[in-house]
Amino acid sequence: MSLRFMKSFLALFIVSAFAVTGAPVYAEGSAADKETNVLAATTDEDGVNDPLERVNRAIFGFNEVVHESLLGPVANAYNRYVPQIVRTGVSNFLTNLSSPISIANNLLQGDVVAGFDLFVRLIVNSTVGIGGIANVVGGEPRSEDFGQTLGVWGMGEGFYLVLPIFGPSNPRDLVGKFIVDPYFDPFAHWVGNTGRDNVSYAKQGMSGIDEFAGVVDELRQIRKTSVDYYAAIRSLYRQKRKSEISNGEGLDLPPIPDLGYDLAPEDFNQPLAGATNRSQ
Amino acid sequence: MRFHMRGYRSLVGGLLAVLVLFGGPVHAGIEKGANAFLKSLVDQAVQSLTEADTPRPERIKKFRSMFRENFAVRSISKFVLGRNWRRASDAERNEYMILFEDLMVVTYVDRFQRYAGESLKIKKTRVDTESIATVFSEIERPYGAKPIRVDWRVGTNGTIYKLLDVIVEGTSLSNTLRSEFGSIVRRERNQIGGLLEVLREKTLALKAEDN
Repeated sequence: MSLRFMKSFLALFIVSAFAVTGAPVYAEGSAADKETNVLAATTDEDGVNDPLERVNRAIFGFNEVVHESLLGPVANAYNRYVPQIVRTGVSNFLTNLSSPISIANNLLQGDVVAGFDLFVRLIVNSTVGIGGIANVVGGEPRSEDFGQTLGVWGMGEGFYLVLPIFGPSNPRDLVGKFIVDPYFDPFAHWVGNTGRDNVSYAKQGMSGIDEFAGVVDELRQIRKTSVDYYAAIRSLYRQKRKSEISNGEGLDLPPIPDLGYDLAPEDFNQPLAGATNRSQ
Repeated sequence: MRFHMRGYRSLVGGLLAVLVLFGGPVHAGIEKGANAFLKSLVDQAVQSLTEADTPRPERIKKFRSMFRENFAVRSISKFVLGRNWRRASDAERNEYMILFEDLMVVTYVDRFQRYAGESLKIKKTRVDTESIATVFSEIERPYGAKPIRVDWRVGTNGTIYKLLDVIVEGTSLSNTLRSEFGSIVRRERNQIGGLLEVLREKTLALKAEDN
């Protein structure tokens, strides 16, 4: 299956998904999505924004089988037999290679300073850092993609979507990741122009392993302890994307959801040994 | 003289207004209190959970008393159940809170141990309301791995501080649980009893585990 075919397949998939639900993508507000989301008014009483839940759960189940039988063992072997320093190098290399995508999206989001920082980082890490294997600049750059850019521009997530193999997404992030971001990726252009499909597959495979190996333990833990694994992953994905989109908001503090907690007085009424120590 | 007096009065009045409006001393108190609370919690966790040869039941016992003392269990469990809390009977609420505590303890006892040896750096503290503050921190990892961003929501009545939420890389624990529990209650045709049954099974399975 060629890349081009996959892209048109995905585009078709998105269009049909819209046709099925007739959902406008722009309906979500950041805090008050329950009130403003058009989908919520009819099908989504708890704000989970998942009108395709039955299909999604089926695909999620399929992905679980793939994780268990294929990706999981590969990721485990990678974590177990490849030393951390090599894994960090691979991760640095891939991050550096795809950083033009982050630069372009930073600029599209109007964050010229972050874009310039990333540009300098790309130059230094690619040269002094030997093709990006060593992160000589240090620190962890924020990754930006076109899904986030659309989010910054005010577009809502649309609805929750589980993709085969790729996992949690939504129409906005799907368009960003598979249709728009490849245009910002000089590596993808080079591969496309020179017909090096193998290189492209190798890079995608490596990215997949790198990404999955980083979260495989955490995922296993979540699956073991959650009462509804599907709902947990859905909530985690949606929260994470919201947090990524609103980066930089509120001075330099990382964004956190404002959940309007309601303090129960009982929690603070009982006399506690530790509390009396602390108040002295 | 009268003029001076008036000036003096408005000066005092202005100062008072500033104090009332911005609540400087009170907020500074919460900020310090929340930081001190979190540091003592981390120290406690490191001390009681990192002893390698403690058997798991013993660790669970220690973690449970730590959990009770430091987490706003009732506030959290109420928030997590959301609107279903109002629909639950007293008996259901009581059993739910016991099961919720159980679930949290057996879920996090191993995880806390895993991270307890790694150093936590407090980046900043923000006062959200007069009774809630957020402490932003990073857990540093070995071998140049990416540090984990963890934010802690702390609630207080002025003297007692308790954790309301733990937010890892922008994802709130309370929010995720609320979504999960909501999904189960819906699946069980809006019966709280169905959720309690699922929680009973899960906590039993997790307690039986040996790792």
